[in-house]
Amino acid sequence: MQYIQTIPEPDPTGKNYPGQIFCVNSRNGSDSNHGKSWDKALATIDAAVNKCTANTNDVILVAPEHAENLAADSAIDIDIAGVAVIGLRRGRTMPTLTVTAAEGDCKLAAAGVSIHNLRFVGGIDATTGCIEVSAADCAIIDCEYRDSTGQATDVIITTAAADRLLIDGFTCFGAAAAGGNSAIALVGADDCEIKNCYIYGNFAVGAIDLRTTASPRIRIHDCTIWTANAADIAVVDTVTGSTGFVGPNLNIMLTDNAANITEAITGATFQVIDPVYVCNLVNEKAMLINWTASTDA
Amino acid sequence: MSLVSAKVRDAFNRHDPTRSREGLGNILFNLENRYTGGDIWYVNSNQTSNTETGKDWDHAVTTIDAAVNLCTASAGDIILVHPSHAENLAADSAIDIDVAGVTVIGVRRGRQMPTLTATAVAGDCKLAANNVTIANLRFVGGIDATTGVIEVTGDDCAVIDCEYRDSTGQATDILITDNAMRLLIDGFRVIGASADGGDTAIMLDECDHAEIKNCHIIGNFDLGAIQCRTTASDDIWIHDCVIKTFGSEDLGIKDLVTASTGFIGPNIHIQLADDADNLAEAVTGATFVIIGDVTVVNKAGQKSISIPWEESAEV
Repeated sequence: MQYIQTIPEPDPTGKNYPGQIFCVNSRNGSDSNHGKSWDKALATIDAAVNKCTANTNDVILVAPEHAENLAADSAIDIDIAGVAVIGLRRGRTMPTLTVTAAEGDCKLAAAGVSIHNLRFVGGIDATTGCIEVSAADCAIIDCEYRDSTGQATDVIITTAAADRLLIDGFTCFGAAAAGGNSAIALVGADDCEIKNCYIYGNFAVGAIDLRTTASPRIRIHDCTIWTANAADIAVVDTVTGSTGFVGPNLNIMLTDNAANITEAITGATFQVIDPVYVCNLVNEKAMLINWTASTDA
Repeated sequence: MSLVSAKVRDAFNRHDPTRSREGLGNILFNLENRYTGGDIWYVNSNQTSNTETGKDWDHAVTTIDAAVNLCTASAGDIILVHPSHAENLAADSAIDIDVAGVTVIGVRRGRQMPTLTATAVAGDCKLAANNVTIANLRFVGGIDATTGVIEVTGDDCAVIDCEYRDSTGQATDILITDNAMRLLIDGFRVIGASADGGDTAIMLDECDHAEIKNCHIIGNFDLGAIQCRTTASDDIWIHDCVIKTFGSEDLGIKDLVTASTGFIGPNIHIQLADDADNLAEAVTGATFVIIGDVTVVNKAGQKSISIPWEESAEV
């Protein structure tokens, strides 16, 4: 029943929840409202963030039909520690945030921030990270990205402060045409976990790219990745030096029928945990990635 | 007193903010509609009049379509349907959910859920607007050769934890679609007849990015339990399903268009009817790929094997 969430009653007395709950709904909200009930909802997520108090378990609920644009850098700047922004989801209906500027983004900019059930749409070509994580212990849960105009260059990006980031249930409906680099780009994100994701797009670098600063002890598992780019790379350690487990339960589809199975995961300092399946031609079934198996040395 | 499904209540009781799928996202119903962002409408065929307000259980309307007509598009409106609700699908568009963003939720108690019985060949429930969701509804084939008791034509629709059961004869097709992008079918259970007469359980016609998962499908399917037909469906994903076909055609999943793309697997298990040279064809589609565990069995008393498709190789 995780796809059916009814809208709960915010409790103004705080008896049932140890923090404040703010409601956001662009359909009937106003940023001059108090946001403590649905009939006095706020109109933007950032307005709700500005009402939150750090580390008090404040929650922002976003109505399923809510829609707003990410029209500038830090359009949504979740810079209050511990805030959870939860989109209420009904089937495939969830709040939609459309990027209308190349740098338009939602930032997870304080420790312990999480976003859930939000759909991001690339409404302009070459967006540079519509979700940016720059703090520790953040989480991106059951969110979705969709290319609409052109292709995002990168979708989720981090800074080196994004330690212990959790990305769970992320769905990326990228465009088939070239123009993208990655869906997830980690920079120095220690102990990051990426799981239960479905990623499709045209990734010139790799669907998941570890770049600039090594990310130690990552875990990437239970994901399905399909790249339409001739680079044929699903997971890559561009910076070289990142460590961690890749697998189990990865399923990877490449574009070219070529000598590319091994390189679907590129990273000399990773470990692969089977099963990691790779397929490079339609009408075939995937094979186990042909990395060298460990032995009793 | 609110009526909530055991699953929702269980999810609430397991509330754990540290768990991504059963934590903060699963929140108990609050049926005090003054606090919600949209209206909640109540449906119960055991009430007396379809001209009631529909605003609480005591004044529930008697048909789902009457409740749909009370809804406002893209306003977060929810229609709750009583567990003992029963109505007939006696004509085409008997239920026409043509208001965007509406969610129809059957309140479920164990195996008891609202029941919609097709009594005309064309009788159906249409998801005819974007972002429409139906959940916990049981559809029954009360007449032979029904042609799609569930029809989806809107984008971003979802069919969740619903059920279909043949009662009289066999449905020709059960869930049909037309240009329904990003459709989600999750937890669909089909208890079809073993006798010949059916074509498919799920038919995809130009449904790009459709996801079909956690389904349990049993029946006699001449064209495949899940079939892509007429216009190709791109980038579909079918996984975590169990399929049994009594049909001698021995088809689990088939791309009739021969251009649909996407992942078949992981975790698909198919039982065929005949002990024959048919394992590879249990999934038929030259533009599909198979990933992970997809197993096939074609005789009782045996265990399934990994589908014998050609494996990818370093060329």
